[in-house]
Amino acid sequence: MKPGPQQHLPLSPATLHVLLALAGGDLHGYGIMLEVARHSGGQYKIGPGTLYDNLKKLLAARLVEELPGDDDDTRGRRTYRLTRLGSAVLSAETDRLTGVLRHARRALSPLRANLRPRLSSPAPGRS
Amino acid sequence: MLALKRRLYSLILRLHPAAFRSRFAREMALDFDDALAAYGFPRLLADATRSLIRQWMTAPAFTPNAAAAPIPSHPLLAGHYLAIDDDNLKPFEILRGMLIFLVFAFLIGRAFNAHPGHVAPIQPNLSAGHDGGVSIGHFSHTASPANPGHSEAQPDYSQTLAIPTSSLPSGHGMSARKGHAAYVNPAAKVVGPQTESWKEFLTRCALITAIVWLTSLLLRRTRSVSARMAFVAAGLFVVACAALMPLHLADTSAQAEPLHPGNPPLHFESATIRLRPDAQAAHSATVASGAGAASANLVRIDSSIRTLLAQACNVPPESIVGGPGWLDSDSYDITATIDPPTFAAMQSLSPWLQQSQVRWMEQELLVSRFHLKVHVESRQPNPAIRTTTNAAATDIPSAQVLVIDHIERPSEN
Repeated sequence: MKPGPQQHLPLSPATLHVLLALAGGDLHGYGIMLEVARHSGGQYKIGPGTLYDNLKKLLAARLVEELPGDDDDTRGRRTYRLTRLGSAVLSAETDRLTGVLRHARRALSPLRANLRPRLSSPAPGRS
Repeated sequence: MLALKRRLYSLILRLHPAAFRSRFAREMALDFDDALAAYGFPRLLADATRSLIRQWMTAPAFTPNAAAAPIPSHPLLAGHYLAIDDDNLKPFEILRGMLIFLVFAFLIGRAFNAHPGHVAPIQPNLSAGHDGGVSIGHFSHTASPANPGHSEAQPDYSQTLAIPTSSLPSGHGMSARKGHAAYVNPAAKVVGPQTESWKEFLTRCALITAIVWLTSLLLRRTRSVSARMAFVAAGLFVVACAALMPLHLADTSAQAEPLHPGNPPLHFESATIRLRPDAQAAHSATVASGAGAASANLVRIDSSIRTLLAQACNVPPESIVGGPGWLDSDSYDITATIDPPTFAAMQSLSPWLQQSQVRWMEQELLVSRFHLKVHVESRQPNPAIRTTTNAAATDIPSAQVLVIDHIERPSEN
């Protein structure tokens, strides 16, 4: 039986960010690191060890593929591309996270409603 | 500084499993150069170290079927990089674990029993003989290097008394190691019991740790509940055995401990030798605290000289040949005293070790007072002597015997 996208879920934060970075285009390793830092607003940075550990797993799971060597790249960097299965997994993970977010907002809305008056009411004894 | 950082990072990369290293190490090194300014060296170093641990934990050597196995349900689960193989234990893994355990136990045993740095001829006064034996020598008046100013009779240990270690039967108090006979160091053994108990404690802890580690390894690799229970029971049993069994490290280390080269030779403080006018007496030697003087610790010897020599060299009498007839016919009453510091040090030793010390002093007494000279030959023991001794003691190695070259009657004082 062919492995489906659901089989790979949930994704780790690092894996999600790597797939998200590759969703924007083919990148080499350092490009992925920069893209991850960029789209997380600098809050999430992955080092080379974490990156290539994830890439190894993604390559083994055929979510990412390695592009053939480019002769122009004298430094010998490899370029990685998101596969169709990888896109499907990313899409499924995004849907899953959307559901989680929807559920979280629904659960938090009454708490926020209760929290808002308290936060807006002045503290006793203060003018 | 940059080169040093790069070299350190490269070293960590080299420590990665070969499969990972050959595929990604070059790119990681390039990324390190690019990211060093933005990420900082400590962060990259920590990342590489984490990667190193992670790669070895998930290496195919530790998860043999990882490549062939189908994709597990959550291979990319957040943070779960530690792969636990649920496969049953294979005979190879059991053998590997047992081999590691045995090597570990062997190394511990060697570490505590072998003292390669201290294995030396028995004191400066003893040197290896031409046949692998131990030699002690003439007596001369020199100042002891350990006690400058304390001038007294000190042996000049040239080639006079040679005791081949190969001819010494085991269990006679003298242990042979690397061609040398080893007596126990009295000075080192003053603090012996404390050191040995500490060694025993460490050995016991190491053994228990190894057993627990091996058991946990078996548990991790076993899926069957009954097999796990069996491993737990076996592990608890072995841990209990390791915790309760006597290690006897004290005895083994005592046998392996040679006299330290810096120690002064052992000798009696004083000795009175009298020829007994009556008939031959059976050999007897006793060590006791002096009744008359509190510091006088007496050794009383009542025997023939051949018996005394056999006792002193810790060999059967039939392996000693030659010498005049009075060696067997005359009986001597020898009263010797051990100086108080040596006697006090001996009190912390086991009875066997105390006997070893006294034997050494007896050897020194024979050399100094009887001007004994012997050498070693390979021949059969003297049959005439054999008939006069206990037949049960004739099962000694008869290849080498101690031949008496010279001995004189002592001047009685």
